[in-house]
Amino acid sequence: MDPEELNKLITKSKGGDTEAFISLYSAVYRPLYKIARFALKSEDAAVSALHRTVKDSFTAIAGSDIKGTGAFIEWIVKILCAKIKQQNRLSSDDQPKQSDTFDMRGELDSLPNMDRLVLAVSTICGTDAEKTAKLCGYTVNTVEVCLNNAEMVIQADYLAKS
Amino acid sequence: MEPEKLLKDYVASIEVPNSVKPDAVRDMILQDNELTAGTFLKSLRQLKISGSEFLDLLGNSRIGNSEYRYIEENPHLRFDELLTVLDNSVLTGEDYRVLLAAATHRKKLRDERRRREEEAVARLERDRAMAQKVAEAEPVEKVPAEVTPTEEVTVEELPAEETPAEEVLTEETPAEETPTEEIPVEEIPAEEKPTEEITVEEAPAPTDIISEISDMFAGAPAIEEVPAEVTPIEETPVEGVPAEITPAGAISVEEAIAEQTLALTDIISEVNNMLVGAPAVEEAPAPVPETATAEVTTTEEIPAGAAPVYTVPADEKPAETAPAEETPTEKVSDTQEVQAPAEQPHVEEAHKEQAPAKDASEDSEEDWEYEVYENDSLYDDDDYSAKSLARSVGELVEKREGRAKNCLIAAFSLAAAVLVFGVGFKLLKFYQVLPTYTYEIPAAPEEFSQQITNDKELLECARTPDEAVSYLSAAESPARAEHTYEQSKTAFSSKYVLRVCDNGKGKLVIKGGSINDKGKVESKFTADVFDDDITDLNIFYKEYDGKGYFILTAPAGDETCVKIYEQDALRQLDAPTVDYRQSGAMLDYYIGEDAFYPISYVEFDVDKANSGKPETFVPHIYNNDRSRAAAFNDIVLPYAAARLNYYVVSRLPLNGGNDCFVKASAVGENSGWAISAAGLYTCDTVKVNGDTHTRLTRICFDKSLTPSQYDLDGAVYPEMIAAGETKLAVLGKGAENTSVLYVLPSALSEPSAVDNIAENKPTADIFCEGDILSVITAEEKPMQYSFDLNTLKSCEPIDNSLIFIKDGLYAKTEVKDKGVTLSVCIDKNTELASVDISEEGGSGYRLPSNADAVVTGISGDNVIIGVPVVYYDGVTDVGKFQFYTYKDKKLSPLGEIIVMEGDLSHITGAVTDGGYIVTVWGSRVITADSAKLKIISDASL
Repeated sequence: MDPEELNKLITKSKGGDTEAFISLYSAVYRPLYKIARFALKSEDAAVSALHRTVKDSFTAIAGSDIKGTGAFIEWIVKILCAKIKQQNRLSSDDQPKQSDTFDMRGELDSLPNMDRLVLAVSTICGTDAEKTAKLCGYTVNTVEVCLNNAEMVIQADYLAKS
Repeated sequence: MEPEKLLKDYVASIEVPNSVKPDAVRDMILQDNELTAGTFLKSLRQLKISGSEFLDLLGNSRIGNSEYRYIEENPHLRFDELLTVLDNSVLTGEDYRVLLAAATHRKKLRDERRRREEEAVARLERDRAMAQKVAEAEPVEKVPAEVTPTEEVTVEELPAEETPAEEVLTEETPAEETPTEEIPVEEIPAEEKPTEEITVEEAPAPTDIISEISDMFAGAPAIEEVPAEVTPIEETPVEGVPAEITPAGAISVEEAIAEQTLALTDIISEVNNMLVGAPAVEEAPAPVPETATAEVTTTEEIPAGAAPVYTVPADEKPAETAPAEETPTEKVSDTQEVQAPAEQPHVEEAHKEQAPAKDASEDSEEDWEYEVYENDSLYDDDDYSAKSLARSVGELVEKREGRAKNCLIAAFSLAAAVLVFGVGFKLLKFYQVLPTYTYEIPAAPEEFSQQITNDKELLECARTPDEAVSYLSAAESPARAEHTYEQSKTAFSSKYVLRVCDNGKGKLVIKGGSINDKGKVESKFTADVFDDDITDLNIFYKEYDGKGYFILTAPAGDETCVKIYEQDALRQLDAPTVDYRQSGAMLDYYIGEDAFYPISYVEFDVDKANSGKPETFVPHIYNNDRSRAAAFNDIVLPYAAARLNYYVVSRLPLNGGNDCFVKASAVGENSGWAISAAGLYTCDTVKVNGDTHTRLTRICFDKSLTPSQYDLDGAVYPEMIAAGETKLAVLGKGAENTSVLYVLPSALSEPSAVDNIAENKPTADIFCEGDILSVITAEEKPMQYSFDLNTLKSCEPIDNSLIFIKDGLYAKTEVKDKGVTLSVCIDKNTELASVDISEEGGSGYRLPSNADAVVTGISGDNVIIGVPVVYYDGVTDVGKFQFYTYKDKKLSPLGEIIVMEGDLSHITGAVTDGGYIVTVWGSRVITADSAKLKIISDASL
């Protein structure tokens, strides 16, 4: 989908056009879900967070100040991050099962919620610390610490278990 | 392999489920199946809530200070920005639901206020026009009939379908017989309300009969005779105001919602002033004729509660009050006859005033009053209604039109007398004077007595209740008082820190850690000691006889489970000292010096009761592998038994043993309870032969759970019972529907009664601190009144925000702008030291929501006080435990423990006997030494 077409869809969506919004969503739902699934411990939680993101972004787009495709993606990822944080608050902090072999999902689940979210946005969106901080609503320092911590934990476990 | 590659591989492996694909979400986005921040904001927008109202709503929610301030300081946030702020707050769908309900209620009030103001403005304009006409009026005789303003008013005031009838009436009325039809309805004096009462009842029917009666009987009063005191609009019952605080016809109704009706009141004053000043309405009414006097006497016999029936504002039904021509003096007199003295009834139950209020304002199109009316059986088949009576009289008058005026006056007087009798009869029924005798007393009333000497006889009483025994209806009194007890999810001892949490499979367990000699948390453990069906879990710690005990309580099914462990036994999962269950859901508890007293409530179904199985109708207990029903001697009987409901209390010695006692207070449908260190109190109101009795019961928290009882005549409100240190206070019904506060010694003996509690306003709650009773009124802006139960006089309210440190020393926290002030004081008026905990230029501090947040303790010579605060640092919420030492009237900072992220909704801690500070942040436990606040350990349970 070219940027011009996306811009048209954004304009239409602001006017309440459901189909235009669905078309916009079609362009971004895969990475959005992957961020959610990466950052949340269960598939149900990820689906729930994404559903609430879609619903609220459709409600909010009319009053938004989105100009351009990039701005739309940033905007909806920010909403998703807020929903992920909310979902994390609602979910119980179950301790992950310990495994003798390296399992990426298990490793992610062992990370603090904040680290996991930062890592998800950084990895899937390919953003630097500054952009990631903006999307997640943290400071750059926090993001850098989270990323370092997460990478070190994963690498250490990988080396230890593989 | 690099972690980056591993992560990318993982991302690539994530499969997108169908439920998030565009086709699946298309319908979902338009459905309102879940209340999210977005749908909440959208709904608020539809309600047209103003910015200040929105902030007001949020201010009353659980939203954090930082989010609130951010919204407050950025009034031009876009929808999506506001959405993100809300998403980052602790608010959930349930909070949004509550806020929406509040917003909807506000909108309703706002709409109603607007409607009333519009009505008032319309009325003002109409009155202005009328006053102008009255002022400029020519002599009555010269007013041509075809320009009668009554007709115009009628068209305005009556529903469209009724207008033709009025037109017909006007056409049929000879012009010369209605010379004064232009008298404005609003100018009918208050004393004429009974006439309008008739017309109110008549409203759905054609109004011609009433008009004719008026014409024939009274004649048209001269304009000069209309008194200056125009029926005040203030008498109009105001929608939205609870009827309990609506003394019918009183201006205080307006005061109760002064802020809503300010504009209306101004307009009313203007109307009154204008009309008083009108030249045509200056003279007093004519004297009352003899017939009138006789009927006034009859009217005065109506109970006070009947008064509101007559207080119909004159402006509500203008058309039906068309004056007659010949005998204006008698006309005024007639209306005075039926006028009952408008006393202000102090009715506690809503319906008792709503019914008359409804009657008074039937035409005011106030829906809620209509609902009350429809729910009320008072006028269901009202043969005595003013409507039917007026119709009868009207027919009579029609047939005998030519008869002499005196005959007609006599007929009207008779009708009015019958009307008064009918309404009075209905009112007596309504106030349950007559119905009691009509429906509840056996043919030959006998003195009531029940002989219950064993549990089977108790069952028999419940199975076939005596006809003489009944209970107050739901409208008269709530079935049972509901309270919630303070939850306790964390417990500390010198050796352990424990918290209640989910085991990851939806079951509540205890997770704990032992604190070693150096203050470090180690040897974490999980104690799963209850069956899977528990729905809640609380944990308490109590030391007795040199040992520490953990008390665990959990509701399971219809039972309350209690297990008491010596502290080491819980960690090692050794047998508890007490393993106990009792019937009923736990209501509250009391921890005595050496025993734990769980209190529960249980109702048994009579149909399922089996006289051969006492456990089917009597509370039962399970104690250390033995199960039994409570013995009959352990049941404290009610005044009259007709139900199988019980408040159950047990005494469970902390160190175990078999000397567990149980007592059950049997009650009926209208019962309440309260506890203090003196015991469990219950109240149970029952009607026997129409008379209301209340039995008060105390079960003392002593070694044998000694019961005592006292009977009061009359009803008490089940939720209005409060136990003080040495007194019990219950709020009951007094004479003329006022409230009376009964104060009894804790041992329950002769009470003192105090009336005019809280200026007789309806009461929302009462509670005690020590022997100081606080009464909270049920108003839009609740007021608190305080009484000393020992002197029975008003007193300063107790400051229940004081946090106990040691005898004679308390801590107090007060949230101020951007910070918290910590004070150390002897009492609420004597402050010894204080310190501000605030943040420079930030979003401000707030206290966590849990009540046990502030930590106090003593280590060596020092008093240690810890205040947890939460704030937003611009990135995320941060928790900080700020510790101080108090010595020689000085608070000195000891240090602080800061936690970023994590569960900051529940922060608490303790100073252990070993001299260590233990802080708990959700599942995280941080310990520190109490000398320098040096962190010793940071563990997750």
